[in-house]
Amino acid sequence: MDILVCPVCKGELELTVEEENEKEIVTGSLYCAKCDVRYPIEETIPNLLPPE
Amino acid sequence: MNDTNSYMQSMLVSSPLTEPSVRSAIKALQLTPGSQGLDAGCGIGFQALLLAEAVGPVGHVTGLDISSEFLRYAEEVVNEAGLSGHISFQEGDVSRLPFGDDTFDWAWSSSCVGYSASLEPFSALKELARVVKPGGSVAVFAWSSEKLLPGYPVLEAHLNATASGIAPFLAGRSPEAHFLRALGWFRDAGLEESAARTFVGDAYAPLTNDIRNALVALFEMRWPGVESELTQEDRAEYQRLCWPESPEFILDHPDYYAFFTYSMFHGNVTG
Repeated sequence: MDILVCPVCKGELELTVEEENEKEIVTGSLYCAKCDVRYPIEETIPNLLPPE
Repeated sequence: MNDTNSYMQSMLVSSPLTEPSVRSAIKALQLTPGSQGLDAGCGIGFQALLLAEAVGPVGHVTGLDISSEFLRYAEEVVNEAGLSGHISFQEGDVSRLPFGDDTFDWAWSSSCVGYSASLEPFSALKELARVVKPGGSVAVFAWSSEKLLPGYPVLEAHLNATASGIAPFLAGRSPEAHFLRALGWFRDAGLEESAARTFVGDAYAPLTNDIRNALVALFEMRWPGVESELTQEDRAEYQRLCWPESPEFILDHPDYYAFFTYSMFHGNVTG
């Protein structure tokens, strides 16, 4: 998770955790302030597909 | 079944046939134990498992794919193998990776960069090189040839010459974009010490059930919907030899033998 950056501007992402277990974050999001885009984390898998 | 499911099914069924070649290629890369790598276009995660095995318990593999369905499956595969601490998955686009420069020790891409018709190979390779540290390696790996119909070279040539037979090898694109021209992309991406390696797999009678099923799936993947493009004579011969329900199905011949190749291109990021 700590290696992830915004796929568009390659800038840092701000993590919001909604649900986590002992091992990992289950639901949440990664927010790029520069692009104003929120990338969702669902079922432990972050979705970093660039917005079209 | 939808397309994703049937593709996933083909990958599952064909893995007993293809896995030895994938293992040989990964072994040839001599990945450093404890290193951290990227599997770009990881699909259902089978190769991420083999890559994680190669880098050992201290290493880490990040799998990235554009399909969330593949990734959900891959997560299950990795959890079952007890390797969830060593492999993580992200949904993303190989041509716009969500990683900073110089993040990984190596990058691997199988049947994706240079192979997927929807991905422009030059920029995808540059993107892989961007996220690999100086001195690290980038490898692209894909199916490159096969002989599946022993004794019927003309029929096999005709099947391969159809639009559906050529499709996996990117018919209609420029020769420079063809997978077998990857050395040019490596040169243009500024990678050093580029090299090509070929890995051979084979099968021969008597076939185990797993290998027979894998070959049936391979016939379907290699020549999907080919019949409409064949002459009447070729179609009759194709149905006689390549239909599993035919009494003369070639996979049931007592002398059946087939082989195929995978090609791997790799190079180092300038240090």
